[in-house]
Amino acid sequence: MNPITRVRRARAALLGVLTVSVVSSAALAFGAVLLFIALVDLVSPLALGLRRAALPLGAIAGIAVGGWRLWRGRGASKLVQVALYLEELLPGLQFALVTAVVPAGTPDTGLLDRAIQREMVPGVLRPPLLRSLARSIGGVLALLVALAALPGASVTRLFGPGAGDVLLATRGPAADADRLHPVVIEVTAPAYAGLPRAVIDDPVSVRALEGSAMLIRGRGATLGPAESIALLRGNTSIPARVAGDTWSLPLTMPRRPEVVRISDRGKHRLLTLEPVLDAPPTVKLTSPLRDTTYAVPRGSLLLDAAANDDIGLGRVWFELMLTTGGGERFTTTTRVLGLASPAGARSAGIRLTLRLDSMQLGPGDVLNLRAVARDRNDLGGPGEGSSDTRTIRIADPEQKDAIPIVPASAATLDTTVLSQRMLIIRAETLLVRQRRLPPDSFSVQSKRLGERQRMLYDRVQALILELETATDVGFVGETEESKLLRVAGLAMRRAEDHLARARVSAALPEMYRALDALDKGRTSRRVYLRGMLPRILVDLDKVRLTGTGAAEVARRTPRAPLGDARQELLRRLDRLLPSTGRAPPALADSLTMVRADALADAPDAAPLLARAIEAIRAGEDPGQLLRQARRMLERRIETAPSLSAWRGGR
Amino acid sequence: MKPFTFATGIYASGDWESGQLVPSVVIDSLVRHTELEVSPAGVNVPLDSAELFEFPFLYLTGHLAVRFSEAERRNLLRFVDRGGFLFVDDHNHDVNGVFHKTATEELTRLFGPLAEVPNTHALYKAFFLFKDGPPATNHEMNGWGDNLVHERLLGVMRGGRIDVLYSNKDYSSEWSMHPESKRFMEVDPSRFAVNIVVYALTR
Amino acid sequence: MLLERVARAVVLAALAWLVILAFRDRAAPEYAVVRSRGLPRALIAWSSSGAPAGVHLLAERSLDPFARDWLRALAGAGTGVTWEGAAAAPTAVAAERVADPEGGTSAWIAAPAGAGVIVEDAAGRLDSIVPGAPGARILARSGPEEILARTGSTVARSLLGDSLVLGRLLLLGRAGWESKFVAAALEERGWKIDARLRLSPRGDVRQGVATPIDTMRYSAVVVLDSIGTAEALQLAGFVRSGGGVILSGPAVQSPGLAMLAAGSPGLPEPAHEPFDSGAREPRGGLELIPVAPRADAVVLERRGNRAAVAARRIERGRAVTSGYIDTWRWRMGGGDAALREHRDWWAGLIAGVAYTGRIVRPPQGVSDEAPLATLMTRLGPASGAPSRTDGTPRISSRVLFALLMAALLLEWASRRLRGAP
Repeated sequence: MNPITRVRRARAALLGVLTVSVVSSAALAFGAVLLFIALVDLVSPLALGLRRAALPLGAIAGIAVGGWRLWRGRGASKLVQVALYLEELLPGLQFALVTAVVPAGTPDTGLLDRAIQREMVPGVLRPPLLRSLARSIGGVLALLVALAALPGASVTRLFGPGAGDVLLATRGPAADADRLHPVVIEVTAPAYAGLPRAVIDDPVSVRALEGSAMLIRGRGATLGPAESIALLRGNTSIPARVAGDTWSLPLTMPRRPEVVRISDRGKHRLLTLEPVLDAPPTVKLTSPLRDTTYAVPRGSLLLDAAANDDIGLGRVWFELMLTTGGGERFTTTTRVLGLASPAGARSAGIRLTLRLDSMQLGPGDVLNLRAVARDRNDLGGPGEGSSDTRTIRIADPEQKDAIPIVPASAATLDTTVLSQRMLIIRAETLLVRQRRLPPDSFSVQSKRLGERQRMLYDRVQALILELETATDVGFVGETEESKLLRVAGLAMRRAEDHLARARVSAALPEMYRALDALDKGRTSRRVYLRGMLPRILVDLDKVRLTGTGAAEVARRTPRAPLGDARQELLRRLDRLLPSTGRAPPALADSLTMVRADALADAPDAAPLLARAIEAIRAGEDPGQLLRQARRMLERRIETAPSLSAWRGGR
Repeated sequence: MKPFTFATGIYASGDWESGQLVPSVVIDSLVRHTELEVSPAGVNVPLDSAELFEFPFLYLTGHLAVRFSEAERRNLLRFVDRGGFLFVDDHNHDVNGVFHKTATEELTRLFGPLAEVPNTHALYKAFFLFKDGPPATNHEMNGWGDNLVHERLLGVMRGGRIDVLYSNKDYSSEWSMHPESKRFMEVDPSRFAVNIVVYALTR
Repeated sequence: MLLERVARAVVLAALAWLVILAFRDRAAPEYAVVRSRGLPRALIAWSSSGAPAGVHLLAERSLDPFARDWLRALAGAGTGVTWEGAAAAPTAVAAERVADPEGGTSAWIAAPAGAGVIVEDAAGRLDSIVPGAPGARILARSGPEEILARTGSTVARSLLGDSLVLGRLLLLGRAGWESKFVAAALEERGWKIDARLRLSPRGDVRQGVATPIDTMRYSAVVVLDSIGTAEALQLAGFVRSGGGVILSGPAVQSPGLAMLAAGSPGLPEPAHEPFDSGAREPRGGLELIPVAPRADAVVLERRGNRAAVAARRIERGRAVTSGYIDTWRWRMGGGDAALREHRDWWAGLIAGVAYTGRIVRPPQGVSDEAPLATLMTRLGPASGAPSRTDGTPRISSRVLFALLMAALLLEWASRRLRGAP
C-alpha cells in the first residue's frame, strides 16, 4: 500500500469520527440547554414565552457548538494534516510519511516506502478514535438519561408548552399549597359563534362572548377536602368537581359584568367576568333609496341591501308587506323574498328585481319594503336587524286632492342625467378641437349634438307629463320634481338652439344649467301629501268650562330620584382612597368589585382601575392611577373667574 | 308661555293622518273641563324633525304598517327619555292587523316590552274617575276589527309612571267627530282624553 | 512717650467697653432671626433652652398654623416677635356645602389678580384658575370635605364641618309643561316636593300634605305662575323668616309677588323655535322676561346687557327671580347634556336660596382659610428687624477688639523704636 493510500484511509477514518463528534456535540449542547431550562422550571416555574423559546435556544446552542467542533477538526480533511497527525502518533517515521505525501524535490521513494513500512503499525489510529467515539456517545447517553429522569410534567412543559400547562408546574410544600393559584380557565364560546376554544393561564379577568361556557381548573384536590373549594356567585355557592388531583368549576358568561369569588379554606381569589355582547346585525337598504308613489304600477324595482354582523349572519331576506283596502278595512299580506343564508359570514348582500306589473297592484295599495337580517345567536336570540323601510304607494285617482309624484321610470331619469353629462363632455371636446376641424365638419358635429340634446329634451317632457297627470284624471298639478325638470327642459331647448347654429361655446352654459336642475331633481325630497287635512279651530272662549261631570283629581305621586351610577362609583372609590396604605391584596379585591361595575356604568374609567389593580399586585403605588380614575368618574368642576356677592349653588 | 298643543306624529311608512278629527275633539274636551292653556288647533309634526321636541305630547295612529326610519327611532327614543309622552292608538282595532303588529314591534324594539297598565293606575284617576279602567269604545262594542273588548291598555312604564301609552281600543275612531257633535251625546266619549292629557302634563 | 500714653488710654477704654458689653448682653440677649423653614426646629430648641428676647421671622412662605400660634404664644409671654415676608401671597379660600341632595362643595377663592391658583382637594388637583379681581369660585359636585388653594408657596385650606339638613320644596303654579318638568328635574335630583298646581275649578293637582308654608317643612318655594293674595302673604312671611323663594316665568309679572321679586319685568324677548340644540348658550333659545334689578339685587345671569336672573335678600331669607319662560324646552330640545344641565341649573337656583338646618360636626383637621391675614392678626403687620432701645451706642465687639489690639501694637512698636524694654 503506498503512503498516500495509507494516509487517505486514515483521513477517511478521522472524518468519520469527526462527523460523529460534531453531531454528538451539537446534540449535547442542545440537550444541555433544554436540561438547564427544565431544571430552572422545576425550581421556579417559567413563563410560557420563556419555555417556548427553549427549543429554539437549544437549537442555536447545538448549531453553535457543532459548528465550533467542525471548525476545530477541519484539519482532518487535509492529507498533510492527517500525515502530521500520524507522524505524531509514530515518531519513528521521522517525517517520512509527510515527505511521501508532500513531494518536494526528487525523494528516494524506495527509501521512504521502506521507512514507512517499517514504522506503520496496523490499527495505530484505533485507540484515539475509539476514545473520541466513546466520549461522544457517552456524553449523549448521559444526557438522555438525565432527560429521562425529568418528571413527565416538566417534559411536557418543555417540549409542548402551551396555555393550560401552568397546572403542570412544580408546586410548593404540601402544607403551604395554595389550591387557588394557579388556575386555568377554558373558554368555549357558544356553538353558533364558531370560535375556537381558548385556554387562559391564571387570569384575573375573563373576557368572552355572553353565554360562553367556562371551566375553571386548578390542582391540589388531594391536598385537602375537595368540598371546601367553591365558587361564590351572589348568594349561590357551587362546589368544585374533582378528578384525581384536579378540581374544576363550571360557569357561564353572564350578560352583565360580574365578579365571582373562588374560595378554599379561608383563602379566596376574585375573577372578573367581562361579557362581550352579541350585537344584532345592521342592514342597509341601498335600493330603492327613498319612498315613491307610482301613478301606474309598472316597470321593475331593484332591491339591493347589505347586512353586517359582529359574529356571523344566519339569514338575510327582503320583507314585503302589501296592504290593500281602504276606509276602516285593510288586508295585509307579508312575503319573504330573496332569502339567503350566509352561513356565518360577517357580511352579505342580497339583490333582486321586483316586477311591479306582476304583483297585481291596484290604486291605493301600499307596499312596505325592508331588508331583514338575523344572526345565528341561538342562546338569547337570534338578534335581528332591519333596514329603513321604503314605502311604495300606488296613487288612487279617487283621492282627487292627492298629488301623485314620481313615475315608474325613476331609472330613466338617472340615464338622462348621464346622457346630459356625456353631451357636455362631447361639446367640450368639440370646442377644443374647433381650430383643427374644417368649419363644415365642426358645424355638422355641432348639429348632431343639438339633435341628441333635442332627444333628451323630449324624454324630459315625457317625464314631466307623467309626473303631473293621473290616469283618467288629467293634470293634477306641479310637483317639486316636475318644476326642476321644467327648468332643465328650458335650458336644453336653448342649448339645442345654439348647437344647431354651431355656437357650441354659447350652448355649454345652458347645458350646465340643465345638468344642475336634473341633479337637484334626483335628490329632492319627495313629500307625499295624501289629501288636504281639515283644520278645525276650537272656540276656546265659547267652550271654556262648559263641561259637566264630577272630577276626582288624584294626588300626584313623586318621581324617584335618579341614581347616578358614576357618582355611586365615585363614592365607593373615595371610601377606598384613604386606605391605600393598608394590605394590598384587600385593596385589589375591593377595586376589582368597583371595576366590574365600572365596566357597565363607567367604561371610560375601567381601564384605569384595571391598571391600578395591576400596580397593587406588582407592589407599586396605585395612588396616581386611582386619582386619575377618580377625576374621570367625577362630573366636571365648574369654575368662574370672579366672585359673586351671592352665596349658594351658583 | 307655550300652551298645551296636541301634536300628531308624521311617520313615513303608513297613514299617519287617519285620525284627522281627533285633535279638535280632545282640545274641546280639555277646554270644557279644565283651565289649561291650550292651542285651539292641533299640529302635525314629523317624527324625524327637531320640531318634535317642542310638543311633549305626541299622538300616533294609523291603519297601515308602522316602520320607523333610523332618524325617527333616534328622535322617539330621545323624546321619551327627555320626558315626552307618546300615545299610540290602533285605528284598526285589530290585534291581528298590520298596525298593531308592526307598531308594537317598533315600540318594543325602542323601549322594551309593553306591559299591561293596571286598571287601578293613576291614569284612571288623573281627572275623571274610571274605576273599571279604560272606557270601551263603540267599535269594540259593535264587533269591529278583532271583535274583542280590550280590558287593558298597554304601556312602557318606568317606576310606575307611563311614558308610552298604547291602545287597541280605537279611540281614534271613537273621537273622530266634529266637536259640536258632542252636544247630542249623553256622555262625552272623549272624557278619557282629558285624563290622558292631564296625566301627561302633571306626572 | 505721648503716643504710648495715648495708645494705652485707647486700650483701657476698649477693654472697659468690652466688659460693659459683656455684662449688658448677658442681661439682654440679641434678637433671633429665623426663616419659615427653620422655625419649627427653632421653636423646639427655644422650648428647652429658653426663648430669645425677640424673634424676627423672615416669612418667605405661609406658616403652619401651629407654628404661627406658637409664635403668638411666645409674643404673649413677652418675647418680641416681628416678621417680614414679601414672598407670602395674600390668598384666602372659604368652602361650604351646597344645599343639594346630590351634595357638592362650593369654594370662594381670593388671590392677587392675575396670580395662578391651584385648587385641590384631598385626592389631588381640581383645577387651576387665574382669578379676576376680586377672586374666583369653584363648584365641585363630588363634594370634597376640604379645599386647598395654592398660590406659589402659600397654601390656604378650608375644611367642611357641619352637615346640612334639607327640607322639602313647594311648587306653586298651574298644571302645564313647565310645572311638570321643573318638578321632574327637582325630584330626579333628590328633592322631595309638595305641589299645588291649578287645573280646574273641580280639582287641582296636589302632592304632599296641605300645611302652612314655613321653614319647619320647606327649604324653598318655587312659584311658576301668579298665586292668590293669601298665599302670597304667607310666602312673604316664609321668606322673611329665612325661607327661599324662586319666582320664574309668568310669576315674574305677577303684581301680587312684586314684593318678593328681585326686579321688575321688562318687555319679553321671543323664543327661537325650534330650540337650537347646538347653541353655545344653552338658554339662549328660551323666551325671556328681562328683569330690571332692584338696587339691592345681585344679577346672577345675563343675556346680553339685560338681567335674566337676579337675586336679593329679604330680611333673613333669599329670593331669586328668573325671567326664563318654558325652561322645559331646553330639557326637551337641548343638546346631549341638556337633561342633566337643566336639572343642574334648577338645583343651582334652589341651592342659592334654600333654607337648611345643620348638624354640628367639627371638621377633621385644622382650617387655615386666610394664612396671611391670620398671620397679621396674630403677630401684627409686617415690619423690619427691630433696633435696640437702651441708648447705648452700638459698637461691635469685633471693632473694639481690633482697636484694642491695634493700640497695644502701637505702644509696643513705640517702645521698641526708642529702645525701651
